[in-house]
Amino acid sequence: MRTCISGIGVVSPVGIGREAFWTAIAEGRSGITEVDLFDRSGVSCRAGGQVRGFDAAALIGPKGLRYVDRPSQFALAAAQLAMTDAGVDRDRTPPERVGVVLGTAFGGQSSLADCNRERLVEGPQYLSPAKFPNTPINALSYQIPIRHQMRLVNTTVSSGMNSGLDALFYATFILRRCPEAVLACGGVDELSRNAYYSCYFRRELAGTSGPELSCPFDRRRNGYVLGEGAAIVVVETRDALDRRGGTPLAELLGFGSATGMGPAGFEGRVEAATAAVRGALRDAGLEPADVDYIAAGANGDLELDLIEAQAIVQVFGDRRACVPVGAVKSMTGEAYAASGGYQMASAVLALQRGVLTRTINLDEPDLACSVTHAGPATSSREVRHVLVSSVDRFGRSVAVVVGRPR
Amino acid sequence: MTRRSVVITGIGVVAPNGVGCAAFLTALQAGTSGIDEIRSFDTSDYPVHRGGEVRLVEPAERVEGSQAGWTTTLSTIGVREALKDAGLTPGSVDPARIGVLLGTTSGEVQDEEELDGSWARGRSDVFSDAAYAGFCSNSIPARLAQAFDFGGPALVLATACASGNFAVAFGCDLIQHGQADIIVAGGADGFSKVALAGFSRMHAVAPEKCQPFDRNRKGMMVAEGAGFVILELEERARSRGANAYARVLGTGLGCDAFHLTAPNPDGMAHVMRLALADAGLAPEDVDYISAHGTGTPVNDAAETAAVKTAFGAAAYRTPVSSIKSMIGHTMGAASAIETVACCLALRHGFLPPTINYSEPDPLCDLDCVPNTARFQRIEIAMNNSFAFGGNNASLVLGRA
Repeated sequence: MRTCISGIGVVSPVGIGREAFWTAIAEGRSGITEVDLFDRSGVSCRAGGQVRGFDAAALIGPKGLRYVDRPSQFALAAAQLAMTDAGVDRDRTPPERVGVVLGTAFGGQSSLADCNRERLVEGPQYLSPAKFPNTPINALSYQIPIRHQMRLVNTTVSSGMNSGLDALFYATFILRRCPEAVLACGGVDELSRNAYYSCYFRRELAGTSGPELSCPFDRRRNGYVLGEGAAIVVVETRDALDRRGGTPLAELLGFGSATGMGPAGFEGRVEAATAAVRGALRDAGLEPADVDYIAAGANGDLELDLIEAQAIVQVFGDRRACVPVGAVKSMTGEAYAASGGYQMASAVLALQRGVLTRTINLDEPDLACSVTHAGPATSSREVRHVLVSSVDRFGRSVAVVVGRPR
Repeated sequence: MTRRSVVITGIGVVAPNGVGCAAFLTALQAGTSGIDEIRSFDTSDYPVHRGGEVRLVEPAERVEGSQAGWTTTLSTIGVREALKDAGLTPGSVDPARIGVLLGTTSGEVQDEEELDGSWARGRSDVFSDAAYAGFCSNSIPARLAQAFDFGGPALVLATACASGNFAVAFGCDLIQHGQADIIVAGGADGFSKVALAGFSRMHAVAPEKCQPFDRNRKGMMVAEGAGFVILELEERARSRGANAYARVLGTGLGCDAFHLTAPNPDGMAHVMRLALADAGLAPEDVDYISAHGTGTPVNDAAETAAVKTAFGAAAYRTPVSSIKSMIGHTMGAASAIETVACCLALRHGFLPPTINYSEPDPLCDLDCVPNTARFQRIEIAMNNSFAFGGNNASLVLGRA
């Protein structure tokens, strides 16, 4: 079964909509600013990949948004942008064939926090019954099928930083169940106060032990800048897409994943990341030599970037000189589930236009991460296949191979 | 292409009316309620004071030596029992070929409550790994993967109260497509104060007891628990001499895109039909339906109408009971615990009762196995689950 991506919808710190996003990452424009979404007292970090200039009413219409929380609005808008981008004619696509698969690491966490505050400060009897349904992990997906009349499925997948790519993996099984399906599939997460403080006090944020800079693979990196947003792609089988006369942007060719925790520690996690990449290549029926670009998940974390780099070295060996690597999170920050979608969008940009997204802020490359970084010398070339990889905090790695539509 | 048969070879359960399958079986057969006064926190500010809490006999059952939260603890107990029940000893499966799919509504919700509590008290310096786990729910499958050496997929599948059925359905997909040899699939949720307050505010919680299908039913009981099953190919199970409980014959997934919280009979009937079609069975073949049956006035009437739509004339000949009458609504664990109940019903030949039943409701006029378990051999069971956001899923299980 051939599976492809036919549309992209992005609500990100660097731009809203596929073209705006592509332009920004091609130029290497940072979306990191000083966070003003919540009171930051007590923490010394200021930076975040905050979505700005997001006008929900303009994108999805002004009606019924009152009880739709901010991340749900991101997801709704990204889904709408993706469906429009894919040119899905809803008059000819029955609701039974359209579905949603959404990745999220934090889910309805900020609405849950709101409800907890109401419960604790005002009392359980005053908790808002309109807000309460927004609290489950999958609440960010609720509005999408209701607004867009999608009845096939509405599943949420949560696996931390891998959530967006795992959602794509899950979607391929829904397509096996229903090869006629049109799926809006991707990830969403919000830059919430709880996430910011928690990552800060775990000393995971850039700025807790060095410069406050989103600089994956750089010697100065000391953590990630927390980001947010939503990135959703439309996924269909090639047959169904051809039948409706749509245009494929990329083909999903292979998936791989592996978990490495336990006593093996760091080495075990490198082994898992390596196994994920090898698994994705095997699933795609490709060799390392077939890959022309790597859309990395590196986010500036001291360890995660090294794990990913070592896995690339393991798999590509000396060939890595010919396979440039770029980390879009240098511009967006670590947006958890949305990150997978940002990486996927940067991979499709490489396939479609030969533009290789660069890692920005890479002024002092860490020699321990001995990969070849995309740069001016590696821009504009023909790209056949892109590897998208992701390593989560909890030791699990996911890799996806995408190719130019044949 | 014929589909390879997936079977359930092990089950594990942590329910308000029984921790462990033996205790749970006894409770289901005796119609024992697990609903009681809530003891884990002070409910005096809440409009209701009863619920379904899991009471562990030994506090030592908390996960040894870790700071794991309560939902992780419930999950760990359930997974450990299911693995043991399936005869899967450590080292007997290639770690790369075994994975875990956890259905949950709110993950480590009690850790999040603690975190938000500290905000409300004006403190912001209490962030810890537990706080992070509180809202990054894949900490739970990650901890399970670490504890039991699962190197395969380790994901949360979140479709609120239908999560457990979605986990089983995806587990079957992964096994049938060769992505794993063993999938541990199930659901877990710890007791949620926000759920108690929120459902109360929606007028969906009963003050004293859960009475599904009864004319005087007043709502659900908020509860907690965990349920897990071990999925593997039938040929694999047979070759290692495992004694399977059930075959997963069919799965039906859907989203009725109707309303955030209001149940929709058409959406419910749709997934029942899909599951039957997937199993290649007719309504007449089904011996028992484990209802979603929350005990709210709207759900039970809608579900009854949906069964009639999907089953036609066979609806009146098919028993439809709700174990939520005994354990309350365990949220993301509910459909997983109900799958465990179906496995026990298939193996031991009985229908779990709907307890607390006294007055028939003309809107719920199917056979709900009132008050006492019925002992009879059954071959085919259907397990329904319907959730917020219109997420619906039905499983069809056959006696193995």
